[in-house]
Amino acid sequence: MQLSSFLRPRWLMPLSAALGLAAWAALSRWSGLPAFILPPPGRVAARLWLTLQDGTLTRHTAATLLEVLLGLLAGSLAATLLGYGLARYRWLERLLSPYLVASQAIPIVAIAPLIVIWFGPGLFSKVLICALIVFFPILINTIVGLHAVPENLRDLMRSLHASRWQTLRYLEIPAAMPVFLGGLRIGATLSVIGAVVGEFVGADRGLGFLINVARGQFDTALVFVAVFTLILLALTLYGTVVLAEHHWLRWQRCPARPPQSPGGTQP
Amino acid sequence: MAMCAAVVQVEDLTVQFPPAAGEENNLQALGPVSFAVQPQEFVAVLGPSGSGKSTLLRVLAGLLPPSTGRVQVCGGSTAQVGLVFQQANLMPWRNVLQNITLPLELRGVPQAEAQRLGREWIEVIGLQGFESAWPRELSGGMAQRVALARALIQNPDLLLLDEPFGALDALTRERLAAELLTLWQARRNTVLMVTHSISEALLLSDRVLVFTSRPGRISLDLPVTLPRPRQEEMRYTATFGEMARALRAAIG
Ligand SMILES: Nc1ncnc2c1ncn2[C@@H]1O[C@H](COP(=O)(O)OP(=O)(O)OP(=O)(O)O)[C@@H](O)[C@H]1O
Ligand SMILES: [Mg+2]
Repeated sequence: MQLSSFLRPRWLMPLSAALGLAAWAALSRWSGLPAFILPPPGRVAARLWLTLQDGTLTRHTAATLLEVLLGLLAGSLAATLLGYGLARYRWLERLLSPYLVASQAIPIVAIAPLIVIWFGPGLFSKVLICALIVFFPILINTIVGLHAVPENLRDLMRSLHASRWQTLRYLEIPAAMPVFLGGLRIGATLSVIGAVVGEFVGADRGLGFLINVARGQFDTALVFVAVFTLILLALTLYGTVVLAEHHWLRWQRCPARPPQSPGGTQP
Repeated sequence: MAMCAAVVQVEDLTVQFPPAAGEENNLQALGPVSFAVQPQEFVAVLGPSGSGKSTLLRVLAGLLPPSTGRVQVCGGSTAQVGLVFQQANLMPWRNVLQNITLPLELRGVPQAEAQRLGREWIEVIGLQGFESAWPRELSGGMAQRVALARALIQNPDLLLLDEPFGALDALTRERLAAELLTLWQARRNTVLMVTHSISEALLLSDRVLVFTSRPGRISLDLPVTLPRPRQEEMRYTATFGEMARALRAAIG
């Protein structure tokens, strides 16, 4: 077998995972690092099995997932609505954009404690942090997407006496969808970060909370389990948006057919 | 259609645009022009670039308000107007059939009925088998056919064509003009068509309006005396040649 065909993309992912795992195992075995610094893969696997069995992992994952999804939903909803308003009314954009830009200068990590102080350590403060972190990229992409609606198609819709609602549904939403989904893809991973940040600051559940507790007990294997679960969570969300793109943006994806008329002659 | 003396009635229409950067005066793009288009009439508009032809069509389509003068399209604000531009302007996220049925969908025609009509039109324009093709899979000529079908499916009171074949190669262009001729002779929608091709104007239309350069005014209103039904071969007749010469002279 030639190396090039062995390295086909299908093989590449499991291969790199296996290599990484091997390197990790080797490092933990021969580097002399204690297990509470770098636990060997077997120990992490055992810890994973344990936390899966007693339901800890599932419970904390579910808590984080709930925060992530609610935050993503609330953040993207607010961003989409405001984005539509800003794209539509120039004066509104002028009025609000200084605040919006300034708000981006505030690191979310810095105000997360404030949010937890104000709204308590419960679900709401986490959802709010997720929503805030998700908000900006989706807002920007909504505006960019709506600005990209072709003027000619607007003319077409107007000549057909389309109502504002019809213009939104038949033109603006589909035209802005590619850029919007790009924002949602970024937002989905950011939302996971937001949830963990919120849980670090103050919580009694969630994967961020689990990491905090495990760290306090020098249970590094458990930290690894939680981190891997978070990665998996973010990848799943990302993948879901990519799948949605695959479905909704079929029209973008198909290869351009060579021009050919049904009769076989050039029209 | 409502009862009107004419489908289009234009009186002393002018269109001005705000001055360009660094200019003092408004830019007068069009007019004053006055003319009328009768029901089932096919009127062609010829004129140099920048003479306000597209501007006129935009006013008639209700996309641009007149600066002065009066424009009346029979049926008023509810008139069905079909628009075809130089570019097909299809919605890339709708397939061929969905693009063609868009005007019906917007008017609330039931899905089944819209689809039936859409398929009929796909047959008329010869795109069977391409119902579910995406616009980006179409050649320029095919896309323009879809745009024509989309404009005609609503059986418009007025069809506005702005250099509909302008972006196509010469052969495709001639072929589509011939197809439009056949189509129109069977249906007789009222048409106002902007074109840069004298022979296209003569072959298709009942009347040719020639515009002067900016601001566009009508310098010639030439009835086309070729008999109906027309055929492509009429391009080579003496009458055709004479009228072509007159138009060429009027355009300058
Ligand atoms: N939205 C606009 N704002 C400012 N000026 C405009 C606008 N639209 C058109 N014009 C100007 O009006 C004049 C007429 O333009 P128009 O597009 O109607 O010409 P046309 O006859 O269609 O030309 P062509 O044959 O090249 O298509 C041009 O000088 C153009 O620059
Ligand atoms: Mg033009």
